[in-house]
Formats: sequence, structure tokens, C-alpha cells
Amino acid sequence: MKSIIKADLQTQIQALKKKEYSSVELTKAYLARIEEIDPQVNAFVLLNTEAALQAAAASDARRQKGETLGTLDGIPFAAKDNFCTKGLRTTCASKMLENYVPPYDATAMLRLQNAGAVLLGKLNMDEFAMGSTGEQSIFGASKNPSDPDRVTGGSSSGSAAAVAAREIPFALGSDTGGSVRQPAAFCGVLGFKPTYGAVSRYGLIEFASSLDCVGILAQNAADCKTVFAAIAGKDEKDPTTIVYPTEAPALQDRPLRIAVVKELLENPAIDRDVSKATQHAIKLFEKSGAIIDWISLPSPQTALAAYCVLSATEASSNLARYDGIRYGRKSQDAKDPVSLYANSRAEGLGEEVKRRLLFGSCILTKGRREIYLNRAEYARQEIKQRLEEVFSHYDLILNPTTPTAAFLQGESLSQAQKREADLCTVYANLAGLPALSIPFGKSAEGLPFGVHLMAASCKEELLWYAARRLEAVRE
Amino acid sequence: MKQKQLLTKEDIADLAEISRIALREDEKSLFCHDLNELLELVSVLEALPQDAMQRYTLQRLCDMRADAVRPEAWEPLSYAENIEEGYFSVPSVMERG
Repeated sequence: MKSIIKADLQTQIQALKKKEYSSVELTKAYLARIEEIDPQVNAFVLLNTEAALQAAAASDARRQKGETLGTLDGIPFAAKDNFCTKGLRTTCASKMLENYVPPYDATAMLRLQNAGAVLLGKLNMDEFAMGSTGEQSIFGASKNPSDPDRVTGGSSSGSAAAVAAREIPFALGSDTGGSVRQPAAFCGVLGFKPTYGAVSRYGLIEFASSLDCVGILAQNAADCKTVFAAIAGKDEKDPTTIVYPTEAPALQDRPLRIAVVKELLENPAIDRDVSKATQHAIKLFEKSGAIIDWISLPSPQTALAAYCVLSATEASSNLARYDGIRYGRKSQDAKDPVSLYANSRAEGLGEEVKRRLLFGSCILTKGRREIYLNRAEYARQEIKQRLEEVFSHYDLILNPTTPTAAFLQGESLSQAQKREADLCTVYANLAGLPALSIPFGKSAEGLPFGVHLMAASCKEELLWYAARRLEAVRE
Repeated sequence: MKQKQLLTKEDIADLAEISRIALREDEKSLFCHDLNELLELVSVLEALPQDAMQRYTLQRLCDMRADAVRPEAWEPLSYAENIEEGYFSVPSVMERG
């Protein structure tokens, strides 16, 4: 049964259709793989074994009657532990929510399960989705399957590690500044962030609401597209969702027009090997007939600063509810209401979360608000306008996903170095645009890199098309 | 190069109070260092053109609707579990004395 978990999602969908194996057999094969490899990878924080086997058996029974609920019927999956799952513990990898069992399902989870997909369990992450290494978790860090001494990236650390270690064919993650694409690049899988509003965030525990997106991690673009089709679309429970257009852009009759961002590829933070791999991808696109031009965007450092300010201020507001009374773990060591709030948050929240909440409060104080927050909003608007202009001439923007390959676990990094991991990915979040990271190239140590593609709003089809072309030449 | 000290440990204590997080002394020192690093990182925003930014802020204010009660503003009350004299009735919240 080992070979069936090596196959991609498309192959598994066809195999279930042809009854080459059953959903129960597929689910058991993944459970066996998890049992074998997860003690080393630490991707799963909760297994849903019994319910998964029941759901798989129900899927098989439907197929026996010639019925299915959808393309993903009988396919196992797992989700980052910040998606609410009815009756299943949802912790956000935080002591604050260590015993939280949601009374409802996130819409994305419900849509997958209504399409017959089988939930195998919940995945590790950086606490409250804040981090870029996967090390900020009460469950301990996930390990990079390419090299266990390296970080997985974050914050969707378990999602990337589980897909890379073939513990699951696809996983859900969340992406606020690059939290799906960056770990995908570090672990050598495909990571996708959709257009803001294309996928409902109802039931996704908030970090920074103007930036948060549900994301997908899978083996390839075709798999990602299949999952996206199952979860995208308007949801009355999330007023930021949009009616996703069904009309796909015509692509076959002209060459792709690709813009390369000068300020990113020539940035001193970009490692030489990463730059070489990106240049190679550019050449391959050029060879296949694409038109390549170099363009300028507002500086990546400005984009990163705007992201740091906006995400921290929104987080300080969103996470104010975790005070031991309204939500979260209650301190047993309090003499009055004020110390109950302060001690509950001190005991329940980890270092990185506290750092970002304090920074958010700092920015929101009188004087700093005008200097930083208003300017960050202005910078975001400038970036949005410039990207709209670029996409009136080009189909895609190409750059590296991360400045470097995965760094060592426990490496001591400055705040600036930690934030630089999001240098190439934050534009898409600030402008609400779709983007993906395709595994492409490796460092001398054999660590994977990613090439990052970004498209105009609701032009996901262009991303799938370009990614498939790059996957074809890579193979 | 020595970093410009923008925040002190006392500032961190104030921010912790606003954020309702009890901090130990060692945490105050750590976050004092880290928040100063972060302020340094975002200081690039200070270079944005002041006049363009003011025009943008003004435009944003102009884009907002007038701060006036509209009939439809009361529609959310129809979803409320408890209403008292035309207002939402919610559990009392403990505030600082």
C-alpha cells in the first residue's frame, strides 16, 4: 500500500473512481504512514482516526451504489489547528486554547467534508499563526522532512511538513503574510494563497483580518486547483467573501507576459542559490515563449514594514478576547479582575504572541499611530495601485518565495532577520491578490526553494496554467 | 552601531498594562530590546512623502459616510437575544476600578 500514498491527488481520485482501492484502504495507508513517520516529523497534533475510518467507509458505501458527493469523495486530508472543527479540539498551538472544543465547523472544513473528503486530523503550527519557523508551538516544532535539523517554516508548519512527508495528499493552512507559501517553499511542496475573499474564513481563528486567507498545500498545481474548486465561493457567514467568477481567461492564443521584480531579485537579502534558481525558472519560461520584463515595485522593506504594523495592530485587537473570561484558559492565580486578565494572558500566551501584541499596542498609542499606522495604510494603498497598474500589462509577477532556504532549528535571529522570511510574499497579502509557491531548485545542501507567482485578483487560472508549465519542464 | 533607544523598560510596563499581559522583569528587558528593533525595522515608513500621505488620509475621511443614525442601523437588534429599552442587553464586563 506504500505506493498509493506516493501518488498525487489526481491519481488517487482516478483510482477511487476505478475502484482500484477503497477509501478505507487509502485512509488506512495514510494512518500507517503517520504512525511510521510522524514521531520524527511532529506534523500532527491530533488524530481523528475513528471518525476518519467511518467517513471513509461511508464514502465507499456511496461508491458501491454509484453515488459520490464530489471529486474529493473518499480522499483524506488534514487542517492546520486554527480551523474550528466541531467536537474536535482546536488549540491554535497555544496554551490559551489547549482545551477548546469548537461547537461548529469552519466553512472550508464543512465544504470539504460535504464533498466527501475525510478529515484525518489537525496539524501543528506557530501559535496563533504568528511565526515563520514553526518553533512557536506548545506541541514543539515540526521537523523539515528534507532535513530534520532545519525548520519547516511557518506558520503552517505541520501542513507543509505533512504534505512533504506524504502523510496526507493535501492540507489546509492559513496565510497572513506568507504562512502557507513560505513553509511550502522550505519543505518542497506547492503552497497557494487565493484572492482575498475567494475562500470563506468563517471558523478560521483570526490573526489579522484584513490580511488572513485560507490556503492550500499540495503536491502540485492540479491538486491545488481541485481543492480550491471545492472550497471557494460566497459564504453568508463571512461578509468578506466574493462570488468567484466562473469564466476562465483564454490563454492558449498568446504567450504569457511575466514581470520580474527588480527590487526583490536584486535585494541583498536574497541568497545567491535562491537567485540562481529563480533566474533558471525565468529562462525556462522565456524558452517556452513567455515575454519577460523587469519591473519596479514600492520597496520590499516598505511593504514588509507596512505588513508588520498592520498585522500587529489587528492582532492586538483580535486577540484581546483571550482574557480568561470571554475566551481562553483562566488563571488560578488572581486576586481581582485586572490581575485575572493579565495573569491569564501571561500564562496562556507564548513569547512571540506577546511580542506582537505589545508591538501592536505600541503602534496604537497616540503619536505612533499617526507616524506608523496611517503611513502603513498609505503604503498598502500605493502597493495595491502599483500592482493594478502592473497587471494591466502583465499576466504574472515572478520572484523567489523566500530569501533563503530553511534555516537551522533554534538559530538565533534578530527581529529583522525573522521578518525577512516574508519579504517576497507580503505584497500578495497587502493587495489581496492570489499567489503560489512552486518547488523549484535546491541548495548545495539539498534544501528546496520555491518560485513565487502572483496574479491579478481572481486570476487563479493563470497561476495553475503557469505552474503546470513550470512543473512540466522541471520534471 | 549602537541602536537608538526609543522605548524604555517603563514604556514596556505601560504597554503591558494596556495589553493586559503580566510581564516578568526579564520579559520586560527582552521585549524592550525586541520592540526597539521592530520600531527600527518599520522606521522606513517615516520616509514616505508626508503631503501625499495627508492627502490620502483626508480622502479616506471624505470616503466615509456621515456619522449619523440611519433607520437600517437598528436592524441588528432583530438578531439580539435580549433587548432592553431598544438596546442590546449583554453580560456586564469587569473594568479597572
